[in-house]
Amino acid sequence: MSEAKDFLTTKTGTLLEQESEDRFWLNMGPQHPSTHGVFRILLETEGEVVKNVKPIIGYLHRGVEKISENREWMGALPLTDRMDYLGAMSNNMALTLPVEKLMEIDVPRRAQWLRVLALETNRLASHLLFYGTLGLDLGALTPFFFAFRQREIAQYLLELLSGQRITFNYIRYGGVRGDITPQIEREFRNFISGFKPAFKEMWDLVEGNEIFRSRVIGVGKSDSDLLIRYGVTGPILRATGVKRDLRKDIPYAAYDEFDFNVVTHDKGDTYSRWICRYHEMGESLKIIEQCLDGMPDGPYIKKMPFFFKPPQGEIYSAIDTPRGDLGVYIVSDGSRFPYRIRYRAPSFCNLSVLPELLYGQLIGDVIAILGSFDPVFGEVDR
Amino acid sequence: MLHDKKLFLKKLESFFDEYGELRGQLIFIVDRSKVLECLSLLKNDKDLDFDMLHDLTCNQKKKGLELIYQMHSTKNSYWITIKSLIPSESLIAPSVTPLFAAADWHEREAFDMFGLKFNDHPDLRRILLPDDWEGFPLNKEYPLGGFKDIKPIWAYEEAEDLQNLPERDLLDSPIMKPEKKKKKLKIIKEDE
Repeated sequence: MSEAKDFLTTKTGTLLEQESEDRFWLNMGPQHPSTHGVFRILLETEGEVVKNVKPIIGYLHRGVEKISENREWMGALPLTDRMDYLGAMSNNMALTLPVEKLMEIDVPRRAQWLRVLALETNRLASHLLFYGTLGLDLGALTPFFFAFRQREIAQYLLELLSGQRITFNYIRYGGVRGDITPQIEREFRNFISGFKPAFKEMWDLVEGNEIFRSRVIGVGKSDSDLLIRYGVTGPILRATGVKRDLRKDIPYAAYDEFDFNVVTHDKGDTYSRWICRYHEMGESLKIIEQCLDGMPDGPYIKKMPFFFKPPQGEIYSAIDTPRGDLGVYIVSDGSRFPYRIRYRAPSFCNLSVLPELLYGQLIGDVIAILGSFDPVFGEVDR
Repeated sequence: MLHDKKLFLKKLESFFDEYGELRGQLIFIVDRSKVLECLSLLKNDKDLDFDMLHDLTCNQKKKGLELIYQMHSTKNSYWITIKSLIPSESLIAPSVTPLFAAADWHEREAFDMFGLKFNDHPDLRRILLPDDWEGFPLNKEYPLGGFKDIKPIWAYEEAEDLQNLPERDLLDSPIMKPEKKKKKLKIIKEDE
């Protein structure tokens, strides 16, 4: 018994005392399959109802910010891939953007379009994983196979483009690493024609399912005020009806040249989050198609020296990743090394709302809500 | 980054000591004692309506730590940077958690990485590092490898015992000198 009690300690080592005999501290994680990584969460329950939540993070902390300070600017770039490993393209984009702003580099137009192509393909792959894993969290295995059949092709396309499957390091300072060839373009078009019927199939498979609907509708309701107070962004905020997307608000890369909608839904529950992410896949597909049709000519990178010295200054810029706003704050002291790089990770902020959101929910729904948040722990802990 | 420079200057007149603009980003430098007031004005003023604390972080300067707030208005899509210098003699800043709940974890991270303490924070503990960690890693004085030589756990007992063994025993053991068997490679000719 005492062993069990020791296990239920927080990181501080203080014992969590039970307030009354009806209440019980339940430990979840850090090695729990439905926490999508190493996330530990302590739930104080009364019967099946959650009354208190203590999230514990930091199991995957690698000190990305500290390592970046001790490398050249170019060396900091591959580290960003290791943060949000499901949407690594957007991390590359997030770091290149403020550096280019500080150095006032004009990125060629073709490079900007290639960036959009890569970013949206990566967003598609990331949301496909969400589609599959939310199904797994709710006990349905089939959506996982449907999603991963398509995701595999998307990863293959990204591999053709960048040379890597997960850690792309494709978007560089001044442009992108490689150009798109006619052969890769053909592969992209094949993927789109195959994806469209599968996309419809994915909707029919899950949306009308009675068990799915009863597990997600009305579960984990949130309103926009609460989420904004906690700094929650991305599809989770959009699911409460807030039409906010940095791709539209402060267009980076070439997003101002594309025609797409910001997907919102009004309920703010787990179902809304699923709907938002599902329709975002459709929008991504639209952007990819536009990209392939109107790809401009020109160079794909502006040649930059491997070691460069940005002028003194500091820039904060944010982009919209599949999980929300990724803000990067850079400080340069005019030397070869960055003085400070700070990543404002979307999943980090999204998770901070959990104690308030999970209050009064059932234990079984905790997993559904956590799944709908789609956190990546490489990014939370950095 | 969108902003309305005239409006901000007018509203924040009594708070900031200096302001600057770099590549379209508006930066205000506010004294430590006025930070809380300034942020509550930004939040509650109807014209400004900064409802989101987008980021909170620190940056080390010669005189102390620079506390940096990135404020964002979701309705007007405004962005603004508020900075405040915390002198290294007294590393204490006011907590803005009562105003913006987002500051909770960010302030814990700033404490974790820089050792900056926040007054009236509800639960100021380390967040990413273990609780018994020594030092504050993002300070420039902190070496990249850490203060302590940290060995992996397996390196302590078994490995040290193995090293202390007399040399002869190790070398003569069949584990160290397995009998070598040479495999004959078959050469396949292309013609066949």
